[in-house]
Amino acid sequence: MLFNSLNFAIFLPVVFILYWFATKKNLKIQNILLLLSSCFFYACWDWRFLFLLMISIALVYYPGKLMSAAKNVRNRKIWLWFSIITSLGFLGIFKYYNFFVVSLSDMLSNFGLHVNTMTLHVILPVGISFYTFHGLSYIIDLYKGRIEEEKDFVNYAVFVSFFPLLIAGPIERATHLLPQIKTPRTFDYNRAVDGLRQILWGLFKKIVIADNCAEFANTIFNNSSGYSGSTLVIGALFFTFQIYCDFSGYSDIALGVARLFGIELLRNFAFPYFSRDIAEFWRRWHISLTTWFRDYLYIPLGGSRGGTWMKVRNTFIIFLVSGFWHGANWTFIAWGALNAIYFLPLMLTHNNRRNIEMVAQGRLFPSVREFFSMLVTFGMTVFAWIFFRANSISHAFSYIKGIFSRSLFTIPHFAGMDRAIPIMLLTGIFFIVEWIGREEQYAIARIGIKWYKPLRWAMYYVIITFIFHFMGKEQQFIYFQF
Amino acid sequence: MKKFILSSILFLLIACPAITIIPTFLILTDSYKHTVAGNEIYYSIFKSKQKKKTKKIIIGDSVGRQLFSNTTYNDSLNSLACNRGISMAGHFILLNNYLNAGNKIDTVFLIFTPFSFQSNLNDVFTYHYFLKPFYIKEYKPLFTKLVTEQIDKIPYAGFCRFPNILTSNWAPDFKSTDKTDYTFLSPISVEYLIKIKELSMKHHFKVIILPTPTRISRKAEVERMMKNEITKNNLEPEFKNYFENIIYLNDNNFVDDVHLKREIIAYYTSYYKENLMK
Repeated sequence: MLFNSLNFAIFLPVVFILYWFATKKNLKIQNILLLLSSCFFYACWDWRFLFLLMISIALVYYPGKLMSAAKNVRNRKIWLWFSIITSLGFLGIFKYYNFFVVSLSDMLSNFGLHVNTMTLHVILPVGISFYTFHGLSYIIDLYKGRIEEEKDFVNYAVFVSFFPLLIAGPIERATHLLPQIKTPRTFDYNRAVDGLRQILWGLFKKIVIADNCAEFANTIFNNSSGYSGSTLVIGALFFTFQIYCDFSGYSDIALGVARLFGIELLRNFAFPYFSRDIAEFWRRWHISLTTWFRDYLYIPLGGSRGGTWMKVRNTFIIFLVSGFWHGANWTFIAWGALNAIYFLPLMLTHNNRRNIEMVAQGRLFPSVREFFSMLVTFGMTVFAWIFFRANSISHAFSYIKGIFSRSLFTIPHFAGMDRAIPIMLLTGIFFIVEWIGREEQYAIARIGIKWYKPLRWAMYYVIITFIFHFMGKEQQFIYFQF
Repeated sequence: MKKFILSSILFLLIACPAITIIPTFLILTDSYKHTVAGNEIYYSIFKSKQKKKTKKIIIGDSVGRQLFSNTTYNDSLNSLACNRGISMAGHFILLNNYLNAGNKIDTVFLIFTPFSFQSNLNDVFTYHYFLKPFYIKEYKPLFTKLVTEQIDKIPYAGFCRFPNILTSNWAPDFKSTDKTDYTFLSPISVEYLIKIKELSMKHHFKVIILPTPTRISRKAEVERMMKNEITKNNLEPEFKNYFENIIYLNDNNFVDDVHLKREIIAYYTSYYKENLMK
């Protein structure tokens, strides 16, 4: 069930009404309802994977209980590692097994050794990377003593499977979400209205910008050898906006939906394309994943303490793992490596925390220096996305080679270009709105708040009209595949 | 909570007419027919109802349209080619419109890639490319039982003419579960090719089916197509030399799986006129 589907438009109000009316605000019943709704939501993809989800939940929850009951550190460690290994084992089998087998086979064949490999014909269970990481955050925090053992299975299961974040995050922390699940929730009008606004903006990003950019990005990337350098640049730009609006749109909808149920999720995006350097970009892009890796991988590895070699090693590890997390393909690893290369000079010169605050705070326009910093960072990001989107490393290189050819200076042309022009204009307007609202949680969080109500509603109707007018075939969110 | 529910209901009540204003305007002015994806279909429908002197008609898919654009017209050839999404049922309707407009024809060229005949109104394009333009009272009598059955399988088919849906590119996420035992001609293609043949006998015109240039890398795929689907349905005269006439080109002449690069189109248009359509 997609957030942008008619099914979800029916599902959400039904769950909302049951949640606030039928449960008589009984916390236990509310949580059971959330769990059942989440199971139904997940089963709509493929009911068989519901069992996998439940096993995955149990394989963290019960070892967690045993770990808490363990008398000595050794036993606690055993249960911790049991849980980590089984969780990552599931992820490894379903997501990475074929990749490793095929890569090993390819490597051996380069040395003249031909082996019969057995690949598994498994479908990647949707959201597995996300709910695995939810579970890991719980078991590690429990081991470290950051949280108390959760006594109620339903509460823990809701934490892992809460439907707004089940498929594509944000990747929640037990320390942040579990206390909210255990605390009675009251309906807050302003929060609910704000949630609806965020859902509306998320839908606009996904349906109007991402899905339409996707059509042209796919056309150009799938047939890149036939297009001029200038068209390939346009294709990379389309993908740049597609992936941002697709994923941040999803996150906006998830956060908005959670607010309707009185729950605050972690912020996942903070206008990353207005970053002045790559370090800032990574503080603003997929924040829940970046901070997850920081807290559970980077810091335990030693972080930026220690010598230069240690810093370089840790930086590469974190970016490569982050790339690999996105999918079992060398393109993602190359994308991660490229970002590490971008990031290292900043870290080694101690400039990686130079730009913490939002650019041009309190001002309408950035300074010339800020503008060029943003432009360069944006250009580097667009370049890195080519690896992310390409089908293979060789495709990425041929795409880049195609860009840096004489045809870079020709007029771009591609199939459906006449229909792409309105989308480019809309993307430009969208970018301006994002700029105006960049100091808020999401771009339209404050726009129109103080307007006369009919005018404010008119703005919403205009956005809805755009959504209807520009909607195409219901399309999956890119991050579902991760 | 009460305030929230009441506000939401009021918002939705106003939303229904409010968000329909612009689509209704687009429908009343027919301007959506120029802006939606697949606008070439609406243009071909419009063109099919015009009275023209031309006696040679081209019907085809999007590659056929690349070779013979439906936006150009001259007295010797009139192209109604649009795209494969409308299936052979849609192509038949265009031809039927043309005859109903009182036009006389001596030859109909059907210019299609070998893959387009597989369309059985069961793919993701069906909703947008077939239902929206053709699922109307005027054309329903031309639908066979099979077409109606296929339409019934598509979710929200009855909503396709709603202003907001009609004027947008929206289509439901639809994956067909039909079992296909054909490799070249879908059942709907067969039904409507036979109907076109019947029209040709009634109105005394020739039907010639021509292939479009095809990627060399897809040659094996074409060769695997079962030619007995033609003989089984008595369509040999129409498909005479169809496979022999396929021009296989290197893949670098295409922008995707089937569409030609702009640079070579003019050459092949002339080639078809001079060699295959004489």
